[in-house]
Amino acid sequence: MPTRHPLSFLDAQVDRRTVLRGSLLAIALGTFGTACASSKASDQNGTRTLVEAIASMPGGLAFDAKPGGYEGFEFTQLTGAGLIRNPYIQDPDDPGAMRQDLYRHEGVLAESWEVSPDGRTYTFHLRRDVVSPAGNPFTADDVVWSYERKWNSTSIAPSISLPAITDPATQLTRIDDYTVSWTVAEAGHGFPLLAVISKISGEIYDSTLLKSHATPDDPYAVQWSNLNGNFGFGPYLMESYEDGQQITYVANEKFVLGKPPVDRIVQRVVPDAGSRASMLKTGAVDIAVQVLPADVASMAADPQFSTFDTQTNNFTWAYMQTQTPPFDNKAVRQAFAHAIPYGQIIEQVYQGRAKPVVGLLDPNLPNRSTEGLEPQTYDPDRSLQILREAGVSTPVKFTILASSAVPDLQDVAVQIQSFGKAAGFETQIEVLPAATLADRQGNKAFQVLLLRDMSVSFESPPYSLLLSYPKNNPGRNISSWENPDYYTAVEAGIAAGDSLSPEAAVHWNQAERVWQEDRPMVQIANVAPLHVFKSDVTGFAHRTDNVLDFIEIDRSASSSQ
Amino acid sequence: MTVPATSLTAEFFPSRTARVVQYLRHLRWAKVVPLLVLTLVALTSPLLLRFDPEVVVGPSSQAPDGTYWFGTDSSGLDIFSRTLAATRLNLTIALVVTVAATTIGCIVGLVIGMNESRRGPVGWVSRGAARLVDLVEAIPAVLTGLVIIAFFGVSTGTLMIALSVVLAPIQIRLVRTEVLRVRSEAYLDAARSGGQSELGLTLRHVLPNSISSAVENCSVIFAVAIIVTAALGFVGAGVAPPTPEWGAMLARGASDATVGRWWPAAFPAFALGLTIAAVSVGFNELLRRRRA
Repeated sequence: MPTRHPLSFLDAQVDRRTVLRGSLLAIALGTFGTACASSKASDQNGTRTLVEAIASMPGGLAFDAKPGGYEGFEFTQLTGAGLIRNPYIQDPDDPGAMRQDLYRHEGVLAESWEVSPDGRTYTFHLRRDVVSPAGNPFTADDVVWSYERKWNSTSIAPSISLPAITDPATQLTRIDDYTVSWTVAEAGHGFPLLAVISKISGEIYDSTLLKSHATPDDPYAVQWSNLNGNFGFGPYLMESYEDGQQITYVANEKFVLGKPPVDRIVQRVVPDAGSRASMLKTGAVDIAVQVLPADVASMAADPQFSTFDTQTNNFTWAYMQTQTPPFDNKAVRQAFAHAIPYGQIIEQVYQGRAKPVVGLLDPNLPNRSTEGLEPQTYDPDRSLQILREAGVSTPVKFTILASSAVPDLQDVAVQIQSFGKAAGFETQIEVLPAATLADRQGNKAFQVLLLRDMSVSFESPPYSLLLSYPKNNPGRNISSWENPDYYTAVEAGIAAGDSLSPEAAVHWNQAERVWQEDRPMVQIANVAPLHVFKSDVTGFAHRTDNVLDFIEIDRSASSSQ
Repeated sequence: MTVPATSLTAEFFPSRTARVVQYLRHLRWAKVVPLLVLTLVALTSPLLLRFDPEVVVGPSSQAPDGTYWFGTDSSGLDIFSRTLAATRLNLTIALVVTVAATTIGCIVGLVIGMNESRRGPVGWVSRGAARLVDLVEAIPAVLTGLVIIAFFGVSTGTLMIALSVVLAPIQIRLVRTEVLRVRSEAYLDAARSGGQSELGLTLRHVLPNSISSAVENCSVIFAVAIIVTAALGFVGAGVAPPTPEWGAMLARGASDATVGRWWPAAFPAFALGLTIAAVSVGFNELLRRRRA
C-alpha cells in the first residue's frame, strides 16, 4: 500500500469562495492580534506597568537551589535584598546609563557598619521596622539563618564567596537582634567580603516564613522556596506565576529603600531572541533582554529605542582543557591565543558593541597595574612560529564546544574556525544544548569551551583571580589549571591587606602575568549590554550580575498617562 | 490473410531499445526536467560556488547585493554558496538513505513475509520482528532520529544511519504485504513441485514480484528523507556546523527573519521546497507505469 505523497494535499479541490473567506478571516485575526500586541499592557488607572521580554522562565525561584541563568538572577534581584549594595553612578561611557560604583557600598537591610582596627571584623547595624511580605520583622536571626541555609544546601554561594567567607558558622556572629558581625581570616579578605555580600548571593531570607515550611527532608525549605517565592525583603513581590508564559510582580510598598517607581512588572517569556526584538519594535513589550548583538546594533540608531554602551563584566571566554591534548601543551595554548580573530569577532559578531580585553581584572580597579600584560592580537604568523618552535605539527586539530542557547557563540566559533586555519589550527564545531554542555564542562570532556559569562564580584581581585581557577576544587576549575606561582601571587596580594592598595596591585599583576604565560583561557571580548529599552523607559544601570535593577527603572512621566 | 511473424513479434515482444524509446516518448518532460536540473546542480555545485561555503567571506548579516547574491548570514558565510552546497549534501543523504532503507526493507520484509506464518522459533522471531517494525514506525521520525543521534553523536554518517532506521519500516511493511500476497500464488506451488528449493523459490520468484511497490515508493522515501534531515538540522541534531544543510540554515536564519533579515532563512527554505516538489513529481513520473 503506497504512502501518501508529501504534496498530495495539492490535489484537494478548494472552492474560491472558501479561500476568500478564509483569507479575510486570517487578515482580520492578524490585524486584531497585532492591535492587541501593540497596545500597551500598562498604565491603567495611573498604574505604571512595564512589560519585559525574557528568554525563559527561571529554572527555580530559590538561588540556593541553583537556578542560575539570567532569569533566576533577575528573580532574586527583584524579590530579594542583602545587607549592602553598590551605589549607582553615571557611566562615563554612556550618558544614558548608570553603573555600579564597585568600590563603594551603601546600606540596604543594614543601616551602617564599621570595621575593627585590625581590619578583620565588620559589624553591621541592621535597620529596624523592616517587615517581610509575610509580615515577619527582619532581625539578626534572619541574617544568621540565611547563611546557615546557603552553606547547608546546594547553593553556589559557598564556592563564589571564597576567599572571604569559608565558614559562616564561625565567621558570622549575632550580637543582638539588630547587630551582626562578620570576621574574616585576614584584613585582605575585607574588601572581598563586602564585594560578595553586596551581590545577589548575599540575599537575606525571611527565616520565620521558611522555617514554618521546613520539613525533615527539606530542613531549610529550599525546595519549598524554589516553588513559592516571596521569601525575601526585596523591592517587588511575585503576584502571579504562569508557567512557561509570564511572571507578574507588584511593587513592595514597604521596601526598605522606598517603593520602586514602577508599580507592576510583567516578565513575558519569548524564547527566540529575534522575536524579543521584534516585540519591542511593535510595542508589545517595553524592554527586551538578551537580544542578538546585530539587533541591538540596528536599534541603536533608532530614536525609538535606547541601547547602552557601558563597560561590562560580560565576557566571551574560550576555556582550554589543560589536562587533555592538544591543549595540555602550553605552547599550543599560547599559539591559540594568537589564532583568534579578535577584531573580526568584535566587528562582525558583536557589531562593534564589544571591547578587547587585557588581563583578568576590572580595568577600573584602583592602582591596577597592567605591566607586562599584552593586548590580545590575531597574529597567525606568531601562532605558527610558536607551534614550530615547540615542535608541534600543524594543523592542530581540536573541537570547540558552544551552547545552542547562545547564538553569538556559534558565530564566534565559525570565526575561529575560518581564521584559525591560517594560524595552524583546524577546528570542528560542536553546538550542544545548555544542559549537555554543562555536563561536558563538569566532566572536563572538552578541548575548547566557549562561554559568555560574568564575574559577579568582578571588583574583588581575589574573587576574579580564583573564580575559574580555585585550588583543590576541580568542579569549578573549568580548565583544570593549577599553578603554584599563581596561587602564591594571589595569597601575597591578600596578605598585603587592602585589596585595592598599590602593594596588593603588584601581586595581582604578578598573578595575571603567570596566567597570561600559561594561557588556560582566552578572553575574546567584553560585550556591551544586550538589553534594549523603549526610549520612554529610563534608569538603566549596569550590574555585574547583568540583570536589570527595577528600583532604578521608570517610565517617563509623559507616557504614563 | 496471414500476418508476418516478425511484425507480430515486434508488436507484442518489443526489444529493449524499443521499450526505452517508448518510455521516453511517453514521459512528461515538464515533470522530469526540474529533477534533472536539481541533479545537475548537485553534481556540479563545487564548480558553481562563488565562495567557500564554510569560511567567513564577508561582513555578517549583509543583505543580498552584487557580491553576495543571497546575502550573508550572522557569521559572514555566503548564503548562495551554502544553499548550493547544501543541495549536494541533502540529496546525497537522501539518496543513501533511500537505497539503504529500501534494501533493508526488501530483505527484512521478505524474511518476515516468508516466515511469519511458520510455527516454532522461526515464526516467533518473524512475528516479533513485524511487531518491532510497527513500533518503530509508530514513533515520530524526528524523535527516533534525535535519540539515535544523542547516543552516537552528531555526524553525517550517524544522520544517515538514523534516517535509514526511521524510514526502513515503511519499506519493510510494503514488501511484507506483497510477499504475503505473492507466496500464495499458484506458480510457486508449481515451482515447488518441480523441485525448486525454498531459497531458490524465494529469490527467483517471490523477491522480484514483491519489491515493485517498495521501488515505486522510493520517491516518497527520498522526499521524506530530505524533510526529516532538514527537521533534525532545524532542532540542532543534524550535521555539525557550519556544514551547509538547509534545515540548520533555516534554524539559524529563523531568528533573523523575525526582525526583518529575511535572507538567511528564505533562500534555504525556497530551495528545500523546490527540491521536495521536484523530487516528488519527477520520481513519480519516472516510475509511473505506462501502458501502450
